[in-house]
Amino acid sequence: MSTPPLGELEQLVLLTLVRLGPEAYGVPIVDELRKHVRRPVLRPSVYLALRRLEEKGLIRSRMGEPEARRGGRARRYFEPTSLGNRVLRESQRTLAGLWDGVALSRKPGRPG
Amino acid sequence: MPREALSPPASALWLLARSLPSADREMVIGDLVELFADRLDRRQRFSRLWFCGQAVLFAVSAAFGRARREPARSPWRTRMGRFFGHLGSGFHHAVRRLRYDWRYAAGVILILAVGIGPAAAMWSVVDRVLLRPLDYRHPEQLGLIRIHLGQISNHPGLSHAEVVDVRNAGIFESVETELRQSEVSFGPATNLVSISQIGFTTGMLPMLGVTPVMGRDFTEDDFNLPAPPQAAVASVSTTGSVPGPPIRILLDYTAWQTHFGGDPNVINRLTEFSGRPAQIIGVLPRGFRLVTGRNVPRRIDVYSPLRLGEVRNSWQFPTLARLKPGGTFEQAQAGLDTLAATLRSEYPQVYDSGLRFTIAPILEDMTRATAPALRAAVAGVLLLLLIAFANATALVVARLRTRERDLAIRSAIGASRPILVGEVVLESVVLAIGGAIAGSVLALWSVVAIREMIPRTVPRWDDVAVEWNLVLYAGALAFAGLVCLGLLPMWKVMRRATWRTLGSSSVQAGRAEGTLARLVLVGSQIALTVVLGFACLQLLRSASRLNHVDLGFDPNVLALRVPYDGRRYNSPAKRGEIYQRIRDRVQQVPGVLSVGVVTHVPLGDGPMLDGYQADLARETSFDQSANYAGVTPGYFAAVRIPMLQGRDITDQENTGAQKVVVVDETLVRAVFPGVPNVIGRTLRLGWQIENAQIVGVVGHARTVEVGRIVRPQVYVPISILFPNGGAGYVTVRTAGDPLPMTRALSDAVRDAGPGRAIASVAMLTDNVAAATSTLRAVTRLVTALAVSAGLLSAIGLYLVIAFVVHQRRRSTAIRSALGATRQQVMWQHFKLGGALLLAALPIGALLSFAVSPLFGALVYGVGQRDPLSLLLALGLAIVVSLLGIYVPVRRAAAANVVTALRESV
Repeated sequence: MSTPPLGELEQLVLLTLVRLGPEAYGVPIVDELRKHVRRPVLRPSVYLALRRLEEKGLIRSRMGEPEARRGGRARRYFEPTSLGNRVLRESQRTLAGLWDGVALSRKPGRPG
Repeated sequence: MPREALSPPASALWLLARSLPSADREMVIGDLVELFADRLDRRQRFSRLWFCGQAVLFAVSAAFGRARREPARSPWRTRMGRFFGHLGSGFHHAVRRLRYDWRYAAGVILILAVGIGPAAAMWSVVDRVLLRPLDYRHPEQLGLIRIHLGQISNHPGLSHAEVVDVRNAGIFESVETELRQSEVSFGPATNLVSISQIGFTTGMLPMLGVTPVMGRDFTEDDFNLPAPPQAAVASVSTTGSVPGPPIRILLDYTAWQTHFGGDPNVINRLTEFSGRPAQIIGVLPRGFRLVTGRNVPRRIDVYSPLRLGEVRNSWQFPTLARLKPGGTFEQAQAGLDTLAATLRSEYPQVYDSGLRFTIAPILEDMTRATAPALRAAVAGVLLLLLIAFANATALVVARLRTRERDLAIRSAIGASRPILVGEVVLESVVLAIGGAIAGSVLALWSVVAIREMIPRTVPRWDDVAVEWNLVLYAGALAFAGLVCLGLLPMWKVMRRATWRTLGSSSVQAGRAEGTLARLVLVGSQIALTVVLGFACLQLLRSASRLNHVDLGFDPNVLALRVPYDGRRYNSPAKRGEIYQRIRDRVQQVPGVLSVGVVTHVPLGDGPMLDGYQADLARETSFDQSANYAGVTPGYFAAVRIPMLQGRDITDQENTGAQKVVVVDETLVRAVFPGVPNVIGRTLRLGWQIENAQIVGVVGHARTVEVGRIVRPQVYVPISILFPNGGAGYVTVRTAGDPLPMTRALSDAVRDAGPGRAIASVAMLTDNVAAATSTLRAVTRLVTALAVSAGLLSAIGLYLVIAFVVHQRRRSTAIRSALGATRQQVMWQHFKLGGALLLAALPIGALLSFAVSPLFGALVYGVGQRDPLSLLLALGLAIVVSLLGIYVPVRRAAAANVVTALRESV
């Protein structure tokens, strides 16, 4: 079975879900991404990525209990599906294969 | 923190609810609300602003992101979605083009922001101060009654008997009055704090349509208290309060929160109020303020009931009245006129110099003094706004000129007119949005600045606040700008983007279309620069002069404000004794050079006015008025007011044994002209002191305004001046910096006697700074406006000259090719700018003189039509204008002849 194509942000979000485990929802996902990604991460783009991942069948979601702190609204928890895990492993393998034997200097043109 | 600040903005929630797909709505809103709560917990600022920003981001991403990225599967794929998709890509392209030409975009946005920011801010201020109705029931039916009595004209305080007369005349539905605000000590004797209090008659709250949130209002029964035994009043215990029945008081909402922690069981609690027991009977609603028009209402902590007496010659009770249903102010005024005529005939000895009442709607009465200044400021910023729009439009049109051929070619090869027009309009929309955002930021900053600038004496000053509607105002103004920026260029494109443009190849042989209108516009900008520059320089010179005025006293003195318990120290002897004790105790603090107590510090909250008369034979009203202050011995030495004749008041005189007075040189000059020695002469002072002997003459101290002598100054012993309470200022001169000694000095005052809470500690230099703050604030505002106008007129000149240079580029190139020198070419262009300057500068000068009375009250030490300021302003306008002309002219002269000819063919 062929795996669906994965954008960069989608891949990052998927990996974040694996890192956070079953209690991952919007707020910690964005926090975790911002901790690791060295460029601005816009919150709406993360939610769009989550939606696309769910439509591709790579993640699934469930609703939690309504909370007063959220104005009576429930959290939506996300976790990767088995397909999602497989896509991620493939991506890791591809990347590892490509990186194998490559050494980048810190600044091109200067030994370092 | 207000409650609404603790919840996300409703408008943002509304936007989210309508823009997000239903599947994501609960998750996204819930996450954002949670984050908002986290931010509040961490006390992060601007959380509501952050929430709005997030809502906009989500809305934009939902509208554009989905339409672009998921055309095939999106459940939203509707006609609306497609429209937004086109719009989105249109915006995308417009932003890309503007990014490529970022200097132009930044220029337009900056110009728009300079116009929009101050205009939005000023509109918000005017709305808050002038337009917004007061928070009472039918505030338009409430009026303030003023009295006119010979020299006391337009005075907002009536006497008790007059209030009763107005009530009994049946002109109004209700007539209520209040007593001036004073400071009293409050709380248990072990922990006294200083609070401000005001008294009002029992019908006040029903008349205003206000009910307490807890407890009850005053009733007539609150006055029927058993009188305290005489012996108990006379014996002042050393720590506790005077025994007697508790006075009933209402608490202000904030005072309830601060002093009682919002305790719901506060009703019926007993406490101490100005040295006597008090019972709390109610709490007033949050934000309630008693507006009386006489003085700017400051925060009031406690309200006490006021009973009307029969006194007819003490005019200190501001009186509000509510019209009868269906009645008008004209009818009420007619009724008051009849009443005044009756009173004049009934009490000829009181009203021998005339009597008249006037009534005006309370909001109008409150804002009468500020309205003209605010309107002038609005006119100024609107002018700036118009100029900004005109300049921005000129810039947009000028850019369009450079793209004319490009548009014509695209039109020729099949681009439809709506597409071309859409492109131009979308670019303008992006610029307008940029202008609105930058303008909002500038407006927020401007409101903060204006708030700092407005003198505290402006009614409703503290209502001026940074609000969301600022962004709305900025948006509305940007929309108006959009009409200029978008529609005019659009019309030009509709008209010109055809083959004709290509045919004529945009080489108009030197014909500068629309130049006259531009020249008039720029000419008026130069004139405005002169006007604002003149005002700015005049104010700057005034401020500099004011800094070097001889105040008549040395303000490097610490003043500790101490509320005073009239009931505890209820005789002149007791008051004299306590002030002597305070002075002696403070004098013992190491480092103290001299100490004195005064009731009204120079340039403080406002003077106490009363009449004086040298002719003792005359019975009634006073011809002259003076500023009164009660002092103890040592005050003149502490603030270094020079003693010119005679001596200071003594401690013995301060116990009320002898009626003595120290007057200043201004009074001596006015009352005893040519008399070399006035010591021993007598004066009749106010209605409290019949006649007093002059024991000393001091130099005049500027106690009301820094810039001028307002009235003569009369100093009486402090024990005589205060029969019923108030506050005294302990003024202390020290050897070194007094601020580190504040603690020791406060302790010394507290040690001196019971019931003394320190209300505030300040340097008199702060008062001097505050007294000149209006001038400094207006100077800052006018400087900012002048700089903006100068900048805009330079840009305007640059644009118009650049435009003309561009139009004439072909003829210039030909002239250069034929041998014209660089100087000749430059001169050709300079002539136009020079002619414009020659026409605009005299107009600016004339206008400057015409508007100079607007600043007349603030100008000090320089003439109202100061020629030096005008010359400098003209010079500045010339420099700015020459800069605007020089840049494009130099570019024209430096242009390569061949390139210019090639491009223009």
